[in-house]
Amino acid sequence: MIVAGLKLTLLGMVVVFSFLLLLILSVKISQRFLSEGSVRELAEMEAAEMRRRRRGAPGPDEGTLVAVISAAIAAHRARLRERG
Amino acid sequence: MPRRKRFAGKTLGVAILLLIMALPVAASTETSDAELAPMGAMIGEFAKTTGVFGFLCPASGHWTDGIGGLLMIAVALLMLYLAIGKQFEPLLLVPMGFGCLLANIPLAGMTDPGGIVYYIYEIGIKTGVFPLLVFMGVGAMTDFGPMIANPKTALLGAAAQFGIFTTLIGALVLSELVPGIDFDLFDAASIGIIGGADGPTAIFLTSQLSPDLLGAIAVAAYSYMALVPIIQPPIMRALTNPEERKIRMTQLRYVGKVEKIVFPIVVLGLCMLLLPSASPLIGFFMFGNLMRECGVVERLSKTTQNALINIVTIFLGLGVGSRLSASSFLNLETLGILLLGVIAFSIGTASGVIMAKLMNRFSSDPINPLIGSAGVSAVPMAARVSQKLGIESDPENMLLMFAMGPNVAGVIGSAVAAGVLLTLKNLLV
Repeated sequence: MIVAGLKLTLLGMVVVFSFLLLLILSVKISQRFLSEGSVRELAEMEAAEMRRRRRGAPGPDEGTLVAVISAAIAAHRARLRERG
Repeated sequence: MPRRKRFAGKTLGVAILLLIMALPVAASTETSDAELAPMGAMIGEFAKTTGVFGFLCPASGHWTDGIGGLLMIAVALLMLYLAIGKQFEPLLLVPMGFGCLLANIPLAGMTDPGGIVYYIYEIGIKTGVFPLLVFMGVGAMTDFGPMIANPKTALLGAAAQFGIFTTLIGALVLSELVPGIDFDLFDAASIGIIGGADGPTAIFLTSQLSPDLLGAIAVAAYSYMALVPIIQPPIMRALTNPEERKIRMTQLRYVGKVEKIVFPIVVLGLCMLLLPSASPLIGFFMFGNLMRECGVVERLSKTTQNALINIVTIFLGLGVGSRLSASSFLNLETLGILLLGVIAFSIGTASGVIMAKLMNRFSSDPINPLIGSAGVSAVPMAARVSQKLGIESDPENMLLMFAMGPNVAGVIGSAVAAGVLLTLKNLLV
């Protein structure tokens, strides 16, 4: 029975490694064809971000961020005042 | 005269109607009168239908049906305590603990044909439907980006599956050495899959190969998954030195939408060609992932990630809990399974770390060996453990995203391992 387990282990590990090695290979091959698209997508995203910044339009979360920072500064000042 | 005739006709009609209504009443009164026993005997008979009697004097006369049931209720309460008090995998342990409670109510027969929990088990778990639906939800929640960006880390996910197979051998050795433990090859395969650290895969494989062990294996798998932050760190520290733990990895590249859409189809294509037996698991996993990445079925993707997986988890937990009966749980084999489960997790963790160290020797890009342990699936807990240990050595070294690569590769790896084990039935001569 233990011999059967050893055989199964050998088969199983070979299959798992071959499957994932082939997967790595397929990812690398698809990367060769598709990575250009990813680079373009990233460039477009960055360009859109730059345009938004140049226009000076606040981002969706900027208002919240300003409110949070102001609240933190106020709390800090209050604490300083308390300490004297 | 015509008026009197009409009256007579009406009276006759009412009389016939009353007669028809009275007939069954008379008949039933006769039978219930015959069945009623004297008061003392009635109370005695009623007492026999109470739970107290069921626990103390089980119908079969075997202790496992009486006191064993009480012990199982204690186990169910312990599971509920761990889930609610300690927050150990509460999403599964609460329904599972409660399923165990329901299954052990004496005389209610909820796990017998006709009982609700019986049907939940038969329909959802015995058929393998529930674990596969959960797996689809997991697919819809998984981002393969970190793995696609650094594909070689997928090898760590392969190495960590070593835990599955060494535990399989361990189960067979235990079966040979310890009297009272008798695991066949199917049982050993089901126990080994605990090392895959993937609940749905473990439940699916066990329901197909050895359904009798389902309760114990599911409890072991989910308990140890909750204990990943306790089991893994000592092994990771023992196998690495402080310099290795400080290794910084190169920034991951951006992975575009098209690459992410193509990925699930490529994986399923490989599965189709190499290992069709794994296609239920990998197929549902990749279907969920495609819904997430394609961007045109957001409603379906959100449902799969939230409502559907939640509904199925409730019934999966109840169904698995219903298999926790005294006769199948309170024995030496369960102790063996719990022991082997922790060994499976430990070996999986160790082999992932060792593989990372080995790859570091040959690879030009540095790999922090701490991410090797994330190969044992348990998404995203194992990756968080890598991150935590990385920060301990170097507070600015963020390993989480790097660890997600082997982590999601581990899910594919354990599904492939399960696919190999599912072919066992064909491999036996």
